[in-house]
Formats: sequence, structure tokens, C-alpha cells
Amino acid sequence: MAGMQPIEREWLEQYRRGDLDALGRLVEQYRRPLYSFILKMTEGRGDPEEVFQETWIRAIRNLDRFDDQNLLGWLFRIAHNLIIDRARKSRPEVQPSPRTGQTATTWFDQVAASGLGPATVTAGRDLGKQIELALESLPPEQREVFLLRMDGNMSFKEIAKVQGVSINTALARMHYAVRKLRNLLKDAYEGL
Amino acid sequence: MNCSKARKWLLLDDAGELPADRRARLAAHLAGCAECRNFAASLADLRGQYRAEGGAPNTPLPTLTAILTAARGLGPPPAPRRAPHVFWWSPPRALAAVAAAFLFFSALAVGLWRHRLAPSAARPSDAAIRAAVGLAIAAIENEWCALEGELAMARLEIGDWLSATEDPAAEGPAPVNEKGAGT
Repeated sequence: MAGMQPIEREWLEQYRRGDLDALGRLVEQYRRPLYSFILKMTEGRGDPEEVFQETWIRAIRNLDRFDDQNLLGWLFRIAHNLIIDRARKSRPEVQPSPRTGQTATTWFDQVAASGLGPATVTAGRDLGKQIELALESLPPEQREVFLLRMDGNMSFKEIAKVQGVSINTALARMHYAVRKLRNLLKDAYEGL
Repeated sequence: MNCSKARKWLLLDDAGELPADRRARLAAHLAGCAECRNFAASLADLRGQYRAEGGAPNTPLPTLTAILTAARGLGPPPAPRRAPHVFWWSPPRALAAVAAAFLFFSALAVGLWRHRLAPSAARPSDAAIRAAVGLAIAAIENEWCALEGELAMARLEIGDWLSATEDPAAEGPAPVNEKGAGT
């Protein structure tokens, strides 16, 4: 992923010197990709606006730990962990399997694919709506990789770090996501 | 190259992570594989369609007011952490020490080698010279390991053990990675 733009670094420095307007410019700069990611990952569950605000508040509180490399990537990482935490807290107590004695071990077991969120079942011919529905049908881990690439423009190395997996696993998830989306949207493409 | 590797390289190339020396091999594979070409086209199409149609949220974007209000309440942001200068440890000093040790032992090895060439009843054997050079290299490696250990201890002391790119206040147990270790 490309690092921060020079102007973004300048805004960050200005905010560190106390310029709140500079913070506003940074929030505005990243608002669309970050909120889009949160919205799509929390589709139908929780309050995405609250997650968005909490992501920024957490980032502001811990700005001393930011290494000035990639602020948007850091924000995505924080949002990812917030979504995990909220999914864990909202999920009912899971009983261990009688056979293995194990419960779900990954957050993706808890952030289950909603299937259909606020988007309607009948998508009509609107391509944007069809893309949204197609994304919702992906398993959460594949959806997340796709969104981190498309919304965050993150490298697979960074995505692997966010998800806590190997880079090969992140690549495989993206591969499956691309194939599935292509199959789901091929009718939409043919209609264009 | 098989298709599995080719598609992996395609994804890496799309993300700007594929080394330049691999692009030619990827191009050669694509020239002969229609399925991988289709995959590449799918990736490009999806990206274009997503960014044109699917990227923007359908709901209104959140306002900045709440964030700025919260930031005002938090006060000025904490200053970036700077590693304290530890007099006895600095990378340039360490590198200089390693370089000096390397030069010293190299000079010793060369001196021993030249002594071997001069006719002398007390000339050391080839095996002795090899052993001396091996000892010199081992000494440098030990010195390097010791310096790395000191650097790790210094970092622990100043609390600089967190990767700065990690979420600084992640709650709950760490996600399990595919090797089973927490991150």
C-alpha cells in the first residue's frame, strides 16, 4: 500500500501541534474508504457510525504509538479489532463441541455472514446494489480481504497482518473472493 | 509455472508487491494460459466496477462533529514516542565495533597467510590457518549476536516492544493465526 501522502503527513504534524482543523481534514480524507469498510463488515449488525467514531477516538488516544508510515492502514487495523470485539460481545455463549470440546476459535465464526443485510433481496438492475449483495454473500474473511484491497488499497502483507494469517492465506482468500464475485456478477456484466 | 502460482503473482502484481524480475515469467505464463488471462481480466473488471459503483456507501457518511468534539475533550494528542539515547548502545557505534573487529581479524588472517608463504621452519599449516580464520569469523558472529541481544534488552527496557503498526489498544484475546499462536 502506498504510504501517506505528503499533505496527509503535514496535516498529521499540524494536528500534533494542536491544530484541530488539521484533524478534521484527515478524518474527511479517510472518511469514505474507512466508513465503507466498516459499513460492509458490520452489515446489519451494530452501529457502523459508532465503530467509525470509536476507531478515530482510539487512534487519537494512542497517536504516540503510530509510526508515521500508513495512517489509513493503521485505522483499518483498529476498525478490524473493534469489529471483532463487538462481535464477540454480542454473540451468545457458545457451547463447546461434545466431540472435540472446542468452541469457535476465529472471529469469523462469530462475525457470521449476514446473508442479507439492510440491502433488499430484489436488487433490480442497479449494479452498485448487485455488488453490495454479492459482497454480503461472501464469507466474512474473504469479504474483508476484498474490502481492504479495494477500499484501503492495502498490500497483502498488511492485510495478512490485520487478519493474523500468512500472506498465502490472504492471497487465497482474495482469489476465492474474485472468483465468486465474478460468477455472481457475470449477469450484471453481460447486461452492461 | 502453474496457474496457482500465476494467480498469486497476479494478485501481488495488482497490489504492487511483485518483484520486477518475476513479471516477465508471469507475462510468459499469461501469454499461454487463457484461464489466467480471464482471471486477470476479472480482477481488473471488479476493481473498476467496485470503485465506480460499489465503493461508495449507500448510507450518508458520518459527520465529523462527534469525532472533533471528542478530540477536543481529549486534549492535545500524545507526543510521538522517541527511543531514549542509551549512551552505551547506538547502531552506528555497534556497526563500528563490528567493522573494527572484522578488520582486525582479517588483518590477522592475512598476516598468518603471508607468514605461511615465507620460508620458515615454523610456518603454520594450512589447517591451522583455516582454523584461525574460522575462529575469527566465529568471534565476529558471537559479537554480533551479543550486540543483537543487548539491543533487544534495551528495547524491552524502554517498552518499545510493540510494533507501532499494531492496534495499540486491542481488547480481548489476540486473534488466533493459522499457526495457532496469538498475534
